[in-house]
Amino acid sequence: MNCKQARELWHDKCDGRLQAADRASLAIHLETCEGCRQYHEQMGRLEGILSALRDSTESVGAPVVERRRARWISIWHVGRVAAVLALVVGAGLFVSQYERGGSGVLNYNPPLPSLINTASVQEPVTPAEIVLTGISDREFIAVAQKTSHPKVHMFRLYRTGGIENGEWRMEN
Amino acid sequence: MNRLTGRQPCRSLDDVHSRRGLLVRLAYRFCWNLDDAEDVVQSALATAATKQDQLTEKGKLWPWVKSIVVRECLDLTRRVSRHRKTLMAAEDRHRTDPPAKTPVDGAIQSELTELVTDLIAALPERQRSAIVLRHLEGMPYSGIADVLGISESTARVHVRNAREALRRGILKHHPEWALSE
Repeated sequence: MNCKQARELWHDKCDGRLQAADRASLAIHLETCEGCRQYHEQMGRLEGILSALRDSTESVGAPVVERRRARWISIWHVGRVAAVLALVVGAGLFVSQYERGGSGVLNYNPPLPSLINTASVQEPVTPAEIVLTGISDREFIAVAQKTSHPKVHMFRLYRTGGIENGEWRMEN
Repeated sequence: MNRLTGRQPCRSLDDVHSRRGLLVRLAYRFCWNLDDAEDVVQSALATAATKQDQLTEKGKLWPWVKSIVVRECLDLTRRVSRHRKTLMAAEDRHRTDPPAKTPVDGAIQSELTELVTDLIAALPERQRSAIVLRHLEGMPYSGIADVLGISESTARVHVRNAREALRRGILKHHPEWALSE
């Protein structure tokens, strides 16, 4: 085995494709070739750096997307005191007797540790109003999500910084 | 709510939207800027929505969307590179000051990790795409081939060349790295 072959085999080893016969020949070559041994060690360290880089970015996307997604999703109930309250992100699905596009008030008591303020209903809201009862020190915006079933209502809940000048202020 | 994992088949754009975080992470690993990554993904999803009828193989929806994200990232970095050369922009990846690299948790990577990040950004586009998809996204070569629209063997060549280029780049900046730790 020559040095060019020995260095090529590091890539096969890195990709999990090193054959048993090549592994044995490579081991023998590395015992006698300082240059190739250093090459293999350097590439191994590079692989470690790339792994660290991957690990350091593994959580990118998940938490920030939840906070920023509200920017892109049109707010279902705009700029008014919301009668709409919703279920917590991840538990925002329930079935109602009301068709989407209809009107009505649904009372729902979610078994959640943190509930949200109720607010008086200013006017009927389509496709449906869902009223959560409970106490909370935060305000939320509910954003309707699409479902394929006319009686399945799904919402995502975004915490807000409250209302300023009649407009919802989104938290970062 | 049905939360899809990355392993479940991606059959519709609704499925793609539920995996938006994975796309943001992919874009971030190209752009190294979270706002840019979010903008890229939003643009890519809009493109996917308007051009979905051009996708003939339904089973390839997820790699197709990822390929759009990769292309948008490369377009962005090309534009940023031209802009930076003209205006010497402050938001730079080739820093002279010690950088704060990761916006998510504020942690500062090791010097070598930051150097490798800069070296990846300086790679030719095909090599950069291939090394990011292989080592940062952990994709198999078949997946890389699907996303980049190349053969598996070509993908392997790009990854190998990228690895070699990174090793040479590290040695150029840190000759002491040549020796064992």
